[in-house]
Amino acid sequence: MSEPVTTESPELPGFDCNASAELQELLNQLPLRAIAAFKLRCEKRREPLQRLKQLQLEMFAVGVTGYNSSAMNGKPATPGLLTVADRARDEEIAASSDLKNLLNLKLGKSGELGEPIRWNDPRLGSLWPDGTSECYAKVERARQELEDKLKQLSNPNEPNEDAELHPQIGEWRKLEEMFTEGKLNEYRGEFIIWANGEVFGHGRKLLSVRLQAEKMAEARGISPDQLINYFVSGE
Amino acid sequence: MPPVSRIRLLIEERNAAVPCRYQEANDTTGNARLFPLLRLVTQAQFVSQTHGKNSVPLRALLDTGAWITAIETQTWQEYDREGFIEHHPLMNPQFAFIGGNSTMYRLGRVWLRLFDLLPGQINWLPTVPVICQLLENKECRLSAPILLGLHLGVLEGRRLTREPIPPLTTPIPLNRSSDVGAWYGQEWYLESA
Repeated sequence: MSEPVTTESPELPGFDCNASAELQELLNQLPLRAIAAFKLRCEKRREPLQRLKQLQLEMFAVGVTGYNSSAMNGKPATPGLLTVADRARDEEIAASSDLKNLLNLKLGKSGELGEPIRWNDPRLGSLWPDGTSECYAKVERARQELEDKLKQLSNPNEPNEDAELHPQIGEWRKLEEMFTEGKLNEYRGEFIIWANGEVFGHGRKLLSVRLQAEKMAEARGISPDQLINYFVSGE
Repeated sequence: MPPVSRIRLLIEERNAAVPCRYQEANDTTGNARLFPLLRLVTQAQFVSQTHGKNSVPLRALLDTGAWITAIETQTWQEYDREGFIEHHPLMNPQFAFIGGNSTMYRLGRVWLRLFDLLPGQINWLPTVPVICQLLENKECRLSAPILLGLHLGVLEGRRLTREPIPPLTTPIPLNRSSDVGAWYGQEWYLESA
């Protein structure tokens, strides 16, 4: 089997000192590849928190009110979102389960490379053996909110070039809003032909509806170029 | 405003003609549960390669179960009239079966740009060529007039991802049926690979 490659005690990734003694003892018994898999699982559990920190930094960087420079120190800028004690408890429960599972797999001896193992090997179970940690579920929700907020921020340095995409893009936006608000429900599954806030025709068969609408519009002095084909989704 | 490398897709909840209700086998309350009818959609704009005038974006349905993109008869005929379709003659007649109807089809190529409409901002992916079935039978109805398929289309060279998120537990607001992913624990993205 593998030869011993180190005699150093593996470093336990960032747990509370009181709880870490037991975990450290378990960790010391694992071969190196298993330790790497364990550390990776610890990192994976913390990914949402890392992403949240990145988003908070971005919010601060782009000047959103309510975000301060504490994000630069690596601390979440929303105290109360999760306490260190809660997080540590949940992480330790999960880590302890990982270590026991890894030991049960008998992947090798301490100090050896040991058998290869993937971090997401099904025999190790889910990252959160008792279901997703409530703390991390909160982090995930906060992450989601920030992602949404960031998406909605316009870039003040960019000109509004909607018109370059299509002259009627403003009208299209208006229709999108109406659709989202349920104001076009009567046309679900159909095209509507629209100009100047008015429906000139509707139906699924676009070509027929459009030709008719163009005639109506022309009779009213509206150029066919102003007519928008808008499809109202629905069954 | 340059194109972006990633856009968000929308999960639309539609009203089924006959809603699918079921009971959990071990649920003793007898309460009926409802399967939501969810669709993955995006906004697609026909981009002209010849006359420089593009279409207004349209909601199109993304269906990886469709082997290529398909467009209903009177929809492609209208965009053909507007000069957006390049026809590719077939060597022999081709048939498809759609929604209980058979149809002959032609092959065509369109150039599509996909959009993500945000408040105060519009993101889009670079324009790509899309080979599509142009259905000949007017009675053939797809789930949307434009069905974006698996091959030779908007997915080429791109990564389609579904990100699981903790679902929102609040009721879905009435005005959000066109974008309900957050309530069903999922977000979808399409990005340049």
